[in-house]
Amino acid sequence: MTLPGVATGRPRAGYDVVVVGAGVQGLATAYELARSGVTNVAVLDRSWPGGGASGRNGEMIRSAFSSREWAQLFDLSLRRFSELSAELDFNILFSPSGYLVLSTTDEELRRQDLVAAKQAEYGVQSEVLDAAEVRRLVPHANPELARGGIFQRRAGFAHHDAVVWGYLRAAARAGVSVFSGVDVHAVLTSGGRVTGVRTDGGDIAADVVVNAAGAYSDDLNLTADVHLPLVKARLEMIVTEPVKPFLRCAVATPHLLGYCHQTARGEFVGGTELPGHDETDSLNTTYHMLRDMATKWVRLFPDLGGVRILRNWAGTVSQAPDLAPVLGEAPGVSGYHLSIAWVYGFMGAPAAGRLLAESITTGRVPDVMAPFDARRLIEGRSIAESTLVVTTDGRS
Amino acid sequence: MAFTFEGRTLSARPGQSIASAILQSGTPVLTRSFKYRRPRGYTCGYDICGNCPVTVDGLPGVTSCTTPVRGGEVVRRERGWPSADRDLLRATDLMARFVPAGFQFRLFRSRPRLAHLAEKVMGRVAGAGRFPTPQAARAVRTRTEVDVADVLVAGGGVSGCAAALGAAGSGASVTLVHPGRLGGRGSARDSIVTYGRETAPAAEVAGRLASAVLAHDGIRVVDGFVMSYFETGVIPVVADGLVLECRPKHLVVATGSYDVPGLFPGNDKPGVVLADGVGKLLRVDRVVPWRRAVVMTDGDRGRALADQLEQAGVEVVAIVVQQGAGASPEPGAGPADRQLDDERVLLGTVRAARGARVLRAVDVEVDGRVRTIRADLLCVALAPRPANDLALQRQYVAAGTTQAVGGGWAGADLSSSTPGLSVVGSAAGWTSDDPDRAHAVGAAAGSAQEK
Ligand SMILES: Cc1cc2nc3c(=O)[nH]c(=O)nc-3n(C[C@H](O)[C@H](O)[C@H](O)COP(=O)(O)OP(=O)(O)OC[C@H]3O[C@@H](n4cnc5c(N)ncnc54)[C@H](O)[C@@H]3O)c2cc1C
Ligand code: FES
Repeated sequence: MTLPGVATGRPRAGYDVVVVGAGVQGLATAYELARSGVTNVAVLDRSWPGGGASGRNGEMIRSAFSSREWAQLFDLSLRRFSELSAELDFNILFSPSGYLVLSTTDEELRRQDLVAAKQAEYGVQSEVLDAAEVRRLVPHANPELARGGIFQRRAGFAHHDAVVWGYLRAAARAGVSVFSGVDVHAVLTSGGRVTGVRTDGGDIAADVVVNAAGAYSDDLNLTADVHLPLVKARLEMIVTEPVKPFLRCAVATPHLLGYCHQTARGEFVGGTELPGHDETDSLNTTYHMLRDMATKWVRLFPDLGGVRILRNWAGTVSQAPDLAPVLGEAPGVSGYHLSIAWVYGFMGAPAAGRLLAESITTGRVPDVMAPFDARRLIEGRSIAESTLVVTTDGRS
Repeated sequence: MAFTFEGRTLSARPGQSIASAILQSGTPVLTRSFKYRRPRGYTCGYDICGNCPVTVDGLPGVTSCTTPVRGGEVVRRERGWPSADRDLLRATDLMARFVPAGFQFRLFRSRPRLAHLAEKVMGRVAGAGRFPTPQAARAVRTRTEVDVADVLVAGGGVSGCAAALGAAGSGASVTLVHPGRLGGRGSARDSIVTYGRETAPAAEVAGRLASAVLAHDGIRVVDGFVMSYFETGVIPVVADGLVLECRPKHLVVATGSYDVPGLFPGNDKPGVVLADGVGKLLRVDRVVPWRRAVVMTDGDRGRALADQLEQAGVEVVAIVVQQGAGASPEPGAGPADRQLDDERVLLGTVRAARGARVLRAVDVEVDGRVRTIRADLLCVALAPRPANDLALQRQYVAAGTTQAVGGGWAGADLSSSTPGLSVVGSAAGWTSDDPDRAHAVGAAAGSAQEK
């Protein structure tokens, strides 16, 4: 069965733009390109659309970050999420139920006011909650771990498959060709310019190539002689059998390295991490993570003790040392654009797609996007963001 | 023994499952389907289909077909408002034509506020089960323990028990994992089995093998199930309040088979029951909640089930031998021809299971004409499918890529292709019980560990 929106037949010999990867990033970029009039676009994926991290993530969306760079980029995304269902003519089930970042340690509690003040300065509205307010918002949480928090009311979660399908259909309607089962082996360049891609079905010419290959984006970069310090990382999640609604908002807990929410169907969905990257592109789940998740989620929500886990799964991403995405033209190869190193790439996609399409079509890099340029990694600069639920293994 | 079911006191014999006691009391609807709220009831009998969850002492999602009555517990059904019997939200099913699959992606797409509200309402009505009561949740305590046995046998039916005895007999330490009483589906079937020098009914052989396993010092028997194989080589076994972390040198998969459901409208109606589920209710739970049965089959199993039902006092009004896919193609060789002398046999196709809430009748097409046959049981006795998930997963994880699975494992020789893995019995596609052969496979696995 093919998804509505996936092209039949083989790609042509040339396009104006070739996007590698039909994840949420590649599809959002293709859709935004088409919206701004560039419709001779092919999106190539070796697997099915959404088969990468875009169909395997925690679906969580927020813009209340501690750094100006993250807050501004993701706030644009958050605003886009609330318009997307109407614009794509597809209900992406965006649920603005709020997003709570829990404070557990004394240090986290001390910092909450400061973080919220900065967010206000960047134009992102958030509320600082004390223990009693957190208790009212998430009555089932263990009070020892839920001692305070920063709550963003407009944030929440959306259905990740629906976002992929919505972008896919809308892009296809606008004239973009999305191909499944096409493996891109290399990015072709000549004299510092991109000229196309080499696929398992032959070469395809293009003046603009977008790398949105998720976990495999670094492998693709190497074929164009672009060297960035990225690593692959495996992340895992669980989903339980459905229970009556007990958790209204999305919750992240930096202390436990976990993030979770409850779906409209009643399933509790959560992921955790352990210190250190799990540097692999294997999609197998592991027992130690399953145990970690079961243990931590029952610690945070003791009443989950009697609820069964239905499934668990793994997804892979690529990460930069500062865990921020890389967005913009690759250093040294003109026409070769990157939307990679996404760790929060689901919530970031609506903004990234729009900004990257704008920079491709106008040649000007929008201000909000500029800090995420790849050169920061080569020059050793990093974007300092302190509210992420990802381990940094001490490198950044 | 007695327990409380939605305010009524029901009685049960020791060992009898909760589902069988509820059925016996005249209540066929055990739950409602998740989205369209269709009534669901006892179907497979072996914790496979998910149609029988109930809440026991505040703990939701308990599989009632495999959980024995302990005595004194409080059991209630889930899903369904005001009750699972009369669910007003059943409307969703009656309107299925207007709410096709995927409707939620079309609804309110340009009305974000309404969409959010609708989502909240859906959340209220959809949420299955209940949240565990705090007491029930806290009563769930799981400890972990490392198991060091050389050989792990998954499944304690005829084949699993024989393999475990083979492995232990050659000196290996063995852990055998099986949910509930040893014996497996063989205990509820009617076949004749040869083991060593004896030939006897399967149930008898299963019983003898089970006693030998339980009496053997070298075999640890765990009441639980094997969760899965993980890439670091760990195989967690989930038991009551315990997770055993096994790292066996050899895994023997003896997980039996699955009954295959029939494909026709209404195949999920309470009263449509798979063959082994029927056998188990009659032979193990010893409950007969039906009066008139139609048996649907694609081979010899139908006749055996019909005989079991008649012995239990159920009138078998028809044995429908399916025509078309799955039926024996050669005239003279097929079971259909051998059964033609039996007037209950109809060569035809089941077209639908009828009844508003539970099964009332079965539509059978014979020679282009559809007949409606009254019945309160439709026993689906099709050729079973090997339950080889664990073996496939072991290979998949070893290969480590999705591509390998895309290339297809179907038909792969499971036992010879992966070192440290054997598959025996129905899980390996053996069409009849062969405990001697399973014993030999176990012995080979066991002696390999000695060197
Ligand atoms: C468990 C987990 C939880 C997460 N939770 C969240 C969350 O709550 N919120 C959030 O915002 N983000 C979350 N993320 C991160 C988010 O999922 C990713 O950042 C995002 O999906 C990246 O999208 P993408 O389109 O860049 O990559 P992908 O979705 O991985 O898409 C890349 C595509 O490229 C294709 N491809 C790769 N190489 C080639 C090639 N050479 N030729 C052809 N095709 C190729 C792949 O097949 C794939 O389909 C999570 C990730 C995981 C794994
Ligand atoms: S799971 Fe209990 S009847 Fe199928």
